[in-house]
Amino acid sequence: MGARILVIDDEVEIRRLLKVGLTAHGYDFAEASTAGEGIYRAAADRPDVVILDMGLPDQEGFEVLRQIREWSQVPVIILSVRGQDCDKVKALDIGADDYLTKPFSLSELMARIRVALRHQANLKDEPVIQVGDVYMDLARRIVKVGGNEIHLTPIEYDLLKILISNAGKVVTHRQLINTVWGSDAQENSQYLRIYISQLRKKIEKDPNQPVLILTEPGIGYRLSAIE
Amino acid sequence: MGNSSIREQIKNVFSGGLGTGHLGEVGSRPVIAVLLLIALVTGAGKLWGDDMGLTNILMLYMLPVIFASVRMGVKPSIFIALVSVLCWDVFFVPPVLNLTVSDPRQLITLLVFMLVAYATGSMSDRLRDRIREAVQRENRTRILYETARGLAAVTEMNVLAQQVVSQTAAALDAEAALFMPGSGGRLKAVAANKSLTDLASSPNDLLAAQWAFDHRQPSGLSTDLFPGARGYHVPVQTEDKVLGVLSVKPANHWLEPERINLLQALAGLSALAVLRLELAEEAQEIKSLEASEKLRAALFNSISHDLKTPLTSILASVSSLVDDDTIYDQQQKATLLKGIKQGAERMYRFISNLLDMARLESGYLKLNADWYDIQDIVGVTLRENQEILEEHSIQVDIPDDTPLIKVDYALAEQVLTNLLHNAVKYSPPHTAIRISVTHTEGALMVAVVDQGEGIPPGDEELIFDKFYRLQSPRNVSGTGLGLSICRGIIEAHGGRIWAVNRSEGGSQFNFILPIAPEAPLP
Repeated sequence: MGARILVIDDEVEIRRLLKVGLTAHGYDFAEASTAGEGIYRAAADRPDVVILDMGLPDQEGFEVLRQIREWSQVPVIILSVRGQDCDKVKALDIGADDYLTKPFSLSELMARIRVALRHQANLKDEPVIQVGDVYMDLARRIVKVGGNEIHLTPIEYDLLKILISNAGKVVTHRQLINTVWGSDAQENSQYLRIYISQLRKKIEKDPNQPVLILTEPGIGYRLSAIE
Repeated sequence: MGNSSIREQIKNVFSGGLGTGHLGEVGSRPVIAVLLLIALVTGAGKLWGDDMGLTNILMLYMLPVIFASVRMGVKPSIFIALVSVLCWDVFFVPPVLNLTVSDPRQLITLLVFMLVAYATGSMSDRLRDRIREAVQRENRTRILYETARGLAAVTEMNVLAQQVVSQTAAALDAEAALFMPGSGGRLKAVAANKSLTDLASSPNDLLAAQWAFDHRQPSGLSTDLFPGARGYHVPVQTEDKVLGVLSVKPANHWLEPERINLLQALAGLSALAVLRLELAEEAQEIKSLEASEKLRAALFNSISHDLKTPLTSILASVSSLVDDDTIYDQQQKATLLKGIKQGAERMYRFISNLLDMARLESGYLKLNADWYDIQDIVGVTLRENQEILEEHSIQVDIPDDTPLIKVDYALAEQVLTNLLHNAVKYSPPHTAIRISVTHTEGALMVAVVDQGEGIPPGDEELIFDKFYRLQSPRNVSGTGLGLSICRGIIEAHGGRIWAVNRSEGGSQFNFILPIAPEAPLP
């Protein structure tokens, strides 16, 4: 049997769809329709990935996430509806690994699950990371794109480093700012945008249509994990 | 027209500053002049009197009488006539310096003098009255004209009420208030020139105003009705309708007929202005009712068309797949499935647009604005719409020095998405769609250019109306909401959006967004 995925969602259509999709992809499927049941299942079934809907009838999704995080580092992927960016950011900042906006495609969900599982598998630091065209040697501070070495400023280098070590996963604005400028620098989001724009000009083929550093509007950025 | 100048005119009318003196009250200067003239005549008579003879001296005494009657009117001139005849009698008729009327003919002299004084004086009185009336009439006309002109420009009832009150107060030198019927026909003060004047609060005046309203006749001060009232209340009415009551409380607690006339004229003007506004409001209501009725019909058509069409094709495809699974080969199945996906996406977009529209219309739209890179917004929009754009070649032109702009990211993306969908919808496959960004000192302009059929000439503005597409003959799927949502969003950002046909073919949609002076530069 493959990895076990726990789906916590009150909508029976979504659970039915995910059951078909996940079992077809070889995953072991577990489900819960309320927050209480979800927390219990997360403890009892020991899933490898949790898919959590933010709109549950009995408790808020945040609460479920917070309780799971008290004792488990299991990857949690949030499902939410369009427009609730604040909720997504909040969930990501309190420990969710990724998010998907309804309506989503199953293939998108499968990709997120694969990224989450992969991160779960190798959390240890690797001195050399290769994602698609981008090669980063953290020990020697060398960055290559398509074999050509490029020069990055220290801030651009730090940004790329966080993004690449979370390749495929969304990294929130706050997470980026905290790591690069420290936790007191919340006012700097416009500078973050400027640095990302400069970083793109150096590593993207067409900065107008970036394929490496993708913007997650209202949330953060994601380095695309080319599989 | 300032209130102060009206007030000055009024003072001219009612305090009688007509320049040439006034009935009943005579300035000291003409009196002194006449007395001097009498003294002069007396002196001259003394000097050369022996040569002139009594009769001629008497003729000289006629001069001050005529002067007085011209300048001062009847009563003073009769008095002057008496003084002149007395002087003549005392100083010249023997025995000199003795006031004895030795000859009864002197009484005739006195009588003639007085007759002349009376006739000339009353003539000049009449003339002065005429002049005064003419000036009063002219001022009154000017006040009414200027009030009417002021009221004609007003488009809101409360502004109108305030203006009526302030004009009236200025024109009559009085406190003024305007009452209009509230619920249940009870009068309520809608405007007053001083906050809560007696007029608007005293029970007697409220009663008097209500009576004036109910009986369509003036009441209160200067009438026999409601002796306790301190204001004069005149109904604001047209021939068939009483609209309210205009009330004044004059500073001197009395209203002359002139001011009552003026007040009634002002009330008439106010009635016309109020009626005009009421009619305009009614017309507006009917118009907006019609518009909302039209919108409802359009919305109904749009929903039934835009939801049912994709749903029909989805249901048909799904039931084919469920019922006759075996007869379709792999490729046919893929086609059916793709159709289902597109239909569902179309419905999703439509519902999102409807919700956005509702959000914009209800005023619940809250901008979640922050500094963003337009290049980033364009990039995300292109990525999210990859499938829709795949048959067109996309060109993006964004200069490196473009500053960040303060926008709501999701809404800005929505605008670009709708413009791109529009471009795809109205231009043939394999043509180019260009997004270009330019900026000046204070504004960023984004243009979406297609090589399609263009906009029907003359409709460049209409296409931003809700459900425009439904009224147009072209048969293209979509809600017709997209562009009007764009306009709503851009205007909420303080920007502007418009469309033009390009001379080389195709259409160009432009929007500009303001760049704040503190915009961070790359």
